[in-house]
Amino acid sequence: MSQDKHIRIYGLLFLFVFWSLCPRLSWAGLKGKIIAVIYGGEKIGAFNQPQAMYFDPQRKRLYLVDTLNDRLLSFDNQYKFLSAFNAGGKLKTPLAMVRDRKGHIIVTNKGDKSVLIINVKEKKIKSLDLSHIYPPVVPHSLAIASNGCLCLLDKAYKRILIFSPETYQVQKIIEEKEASGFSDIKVNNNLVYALDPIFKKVFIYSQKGNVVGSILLKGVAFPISLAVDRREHLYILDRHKGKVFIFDKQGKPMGEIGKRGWKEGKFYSPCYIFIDSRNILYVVDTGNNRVEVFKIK
Amino acid sequence: MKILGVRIIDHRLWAMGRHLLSSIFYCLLSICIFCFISSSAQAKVNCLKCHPQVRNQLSRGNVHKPLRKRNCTICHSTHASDQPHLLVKPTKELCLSCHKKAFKVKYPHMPVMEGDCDKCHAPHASPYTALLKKQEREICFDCHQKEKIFLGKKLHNPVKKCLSCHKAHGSNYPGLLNKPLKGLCFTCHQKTKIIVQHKGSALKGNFCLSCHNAHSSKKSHLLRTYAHSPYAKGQCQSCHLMQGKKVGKVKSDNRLLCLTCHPQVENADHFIYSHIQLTPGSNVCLDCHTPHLSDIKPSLKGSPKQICFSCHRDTKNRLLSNSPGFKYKHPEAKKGNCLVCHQGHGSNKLFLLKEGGINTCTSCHKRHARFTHPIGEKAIDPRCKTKMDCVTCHHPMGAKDIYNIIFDHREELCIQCHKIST
Repeated sequence: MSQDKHIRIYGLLFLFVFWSLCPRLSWAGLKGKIIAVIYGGEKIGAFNQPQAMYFDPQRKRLYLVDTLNDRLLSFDNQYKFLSAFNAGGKLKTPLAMVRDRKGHIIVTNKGDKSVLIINVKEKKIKSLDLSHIYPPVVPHSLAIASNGCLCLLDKAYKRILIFSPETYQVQKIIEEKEASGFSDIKVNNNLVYALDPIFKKVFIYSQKGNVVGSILLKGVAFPISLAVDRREHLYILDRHKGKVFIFDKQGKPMGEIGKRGWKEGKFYSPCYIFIDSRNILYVVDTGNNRVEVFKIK
Repeated sequence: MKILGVRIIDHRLWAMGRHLLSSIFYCLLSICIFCFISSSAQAKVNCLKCHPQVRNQLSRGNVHKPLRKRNCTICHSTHASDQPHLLVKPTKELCLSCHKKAFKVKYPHMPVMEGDCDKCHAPHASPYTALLKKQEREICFDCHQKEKIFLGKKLHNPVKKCLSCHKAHGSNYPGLLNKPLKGLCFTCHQKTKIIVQHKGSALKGNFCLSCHNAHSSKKSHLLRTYAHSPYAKGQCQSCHLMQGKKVGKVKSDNRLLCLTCHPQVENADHFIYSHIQLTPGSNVCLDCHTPHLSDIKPSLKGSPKQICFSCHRDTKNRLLSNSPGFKYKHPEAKKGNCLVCHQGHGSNKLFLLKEGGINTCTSCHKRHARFTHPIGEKAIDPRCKTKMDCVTCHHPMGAKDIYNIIFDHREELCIQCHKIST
């Protein structure tokens, strides 16, 4: 009898401790485990200020935008180097890329302020027509929605341009007067997320340009890039703190990944993050000239 | 009756208790008074006997209250302390323990923020009010360089008394101003008169300081020194729409207006890192530049320090921080001369540096261009497999070791890369 009584007491105690620790456990659960680090090497040559990356879920290929080497590098889903591509010398300081449903590679060229649509199969390259847009667009980040809409960030005039799928006609131009400017955009569930680094805010728009909401980011110093996962968790890359902060859709902190530094698992002036459908987070660490891959748990 | 009886007993007990409590209270009070008198008398005898320099200060006009009452032990420990001058607490905490006036303002004065009260105030006595170390006007110039404030012979009258416009400890308005900038000028200058003098043009926003210097100038009416060329030539129509002789709105509210005369600036768009974005206004150029008059070339709104720190607040905090992790800073960074190393408009180099992590440094540190730890292509940092440069070991914005070294050079620095074999 007395043993049973002890078991009950210990059981209750265990439950109490478990429930009291539960929120902490869930907070601690949202952390990243480093699974790979991608460096330049003898075969590829050293990276030179890589600025962005993209994971193509259809082909399971990872692309790295090696900006000052004017090339795109592709890797398989085991992070093994496959090929380097410079679009016949047409890439001039490429800054961002996405791949559409037809398999076209879309790249922003900072060097000549153009957006290239590259048909890899037919080896044809055409520029996205931006000539009719005033003031002239200064292309920066790119994002592609699941319905095929292309989103382009114009940094100079604080605009997000939304293009129709495949024909790439301008569908909507979002201009935000409440923001100081945007440094990165991402699309999730057909919602456009735009990061304002000075006001430390994420603005959320529908593809029709209506403001759906905004999230104030607490505790970040210099947010530079963002990513959104399937659960609508926000991943904010803080360049100066060298960390990825995770927030839920209400803006509540959920955890953080990394630390400022040079060793693997740490970041030194990182510039871009991307999260794929498998919940794998890629951090383009320009200062350390590498890409770090984390599994989010 | 029973109730009454109880009441009687209660009264007696209450009276007894009252006597007992009052006697305890008077006993304690007398002990307190005795200790207070004896301790202050002791302090008076013990401290001032051996510290004649403090005793001499008693003859000065204003004496700090604890000293006047000879309560040296309020601030100093008689035996030992971790703080300098045997202070019982760090200066900031110590001062705020009595001077409870809240300094929780949006823009605190730097010495207040850092707890350097003794930078301006004498702890014992002073011939000046508020125990200031010097006269009110002189004390400001201990930190704020006169040359930067008195640019010319024409002086704004209140400049003789800094506190007529500024607050000493902190303010909720930028520049530690007493009032918001928008209305401050009109506390002395009649708005109606000013509107007539400016030919009826509307005066709104922070307009006064865009053309006038609040402290001094070489020019009459305290006008700023350097004029934007169309303004100097009176060619208002190059930027503004004209309504007869009246100057109307600007032709365009975005940067294209500026780029028509300054097309070379557009080259910054081609760089990875550029300042073409991130502005609360619509014309990005006007975030840093002023279209009419300026005291700093090329038509800058303020010093680079003021302009850069208005957005880069975390860098500002790091540079102002006294924490051991950021103890050593590059002298130019400390002065806020950001443009010595960084490009204002854009760069392809990391951190918007002018010439990368080696050449930017060696353009001044010439000896290190010839003699240094291996850097460049041949020296690969094993931690990140990247070529080493000056910022691999040094952090100009604040580091914990001498010469802005990121790690302790006696213990941590070398072993970051050079492993010790055991």
